[in-house]
Amino acid sequence: MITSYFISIVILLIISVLESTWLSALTIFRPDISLLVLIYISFYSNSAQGIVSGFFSGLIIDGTSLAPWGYTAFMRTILAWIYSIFSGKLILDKIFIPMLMGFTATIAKYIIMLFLFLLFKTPSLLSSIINYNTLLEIGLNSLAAPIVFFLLSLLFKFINPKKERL
Amino acid sequence: MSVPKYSHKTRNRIAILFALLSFFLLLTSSRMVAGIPEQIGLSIMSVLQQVFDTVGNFFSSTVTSITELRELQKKYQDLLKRTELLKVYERDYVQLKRENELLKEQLGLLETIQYEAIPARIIAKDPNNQFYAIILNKGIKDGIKRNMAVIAYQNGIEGLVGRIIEVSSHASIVLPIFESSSYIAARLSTSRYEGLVNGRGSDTSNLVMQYVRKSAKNEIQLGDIIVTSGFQSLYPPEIAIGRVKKIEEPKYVSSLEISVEPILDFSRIEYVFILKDVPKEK
Repeated sequence: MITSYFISIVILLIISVLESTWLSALTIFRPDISLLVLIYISFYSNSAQGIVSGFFSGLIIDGTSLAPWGYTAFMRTILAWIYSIFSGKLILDKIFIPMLMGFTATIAKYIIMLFLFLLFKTPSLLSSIINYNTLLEIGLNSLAAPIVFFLLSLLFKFINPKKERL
Repeated sequence: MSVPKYSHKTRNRIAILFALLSFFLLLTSSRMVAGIPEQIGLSIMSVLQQVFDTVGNFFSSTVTSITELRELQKKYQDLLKRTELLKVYERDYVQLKRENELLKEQLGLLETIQYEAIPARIIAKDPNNQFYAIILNKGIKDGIKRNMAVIAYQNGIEGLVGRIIEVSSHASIVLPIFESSSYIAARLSTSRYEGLVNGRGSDTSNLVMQYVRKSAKNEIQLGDIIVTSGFQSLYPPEIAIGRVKKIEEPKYVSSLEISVEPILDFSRIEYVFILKDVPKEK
């Protein structure tokens, strides 16, 4: 149990580091891969794995961000919770459902952000939500989700070939 | 990986617990208070970021070397008389020359800085798209402290990048000037009027200078340089921040609102200098 939780946290951290280093130059044309990985783990784990790994990876990531401590952890916990509810209730194809999940997860992420920004009265940050890049990210995440899900399925098969689920 | 299959109730309880815990952290979190947990997070992530940065640099330099090699081979195809040894020397020469130029530039720039400065490299950026932290490869062990000013050079101009807001042993986080929580005491370099420069939370947006009295409008020209005033102890005086892009005169406010274009192109900065608050001995 601890191993699988640990693996999930490490994967989420590595993806976030990858995004903040190698992919950081791609400010516009960049899907939120860590979000897609999180919803994949939440959806497939059929347990609290996504919630726990989302929370702890979020806490560590907040250490290198200008975001207040707990911001990413809160967002990831809620998102993981939402997608763990759908776990086992959807028949997953290879393209449409991952695209739908990428699309809805990005919208959910921005709704949570909006809630936090309004709650903490940071209107200056609202401009970072309501802009052209948000629409672009929704599109990119929807398109990238099937590829990311496919690659993750290969990765988790490699890590644990006997189990179908995480 | 054996994962226990929690019941829905248990899973929901865990989710609520973590959501409340993270929300509580959000409520109590403040970047202005020394945060040990944040430092732990920075320490863990900076190690990974350093590794990724090193690997990335290795690959990019390898690719660059291969490209250069191909170009050289094309260029000197006709010169068959050249010996193989000379070719190797030439390749080395090109690489060394580039390195030498870069080092000379940095050394030269370092000499022009009036304060003791620590050179640093940007190893990563903020993992959250809505924030713009810059992570540097220097930390407490290199003498970096909170609130030190960070500058950079571009096209021979010294410009303000921001200030250090978090430090771990080997890495530090910079709050860039365009972040909405960044306020800088500034003045117009020619007319000497003072004001406060505030970021707009996006690296593509201009900054805003406020609290410049309306009577100053006729003395301000588009393109005027805005520099740090030095009245706020965080930033040394006379460091360039940006250029006047637009001057607005809001009706119901007693001061001007000046749109400021940052002097630095933040998307191109690779190296920065962290200023110690000690003036350099001449």
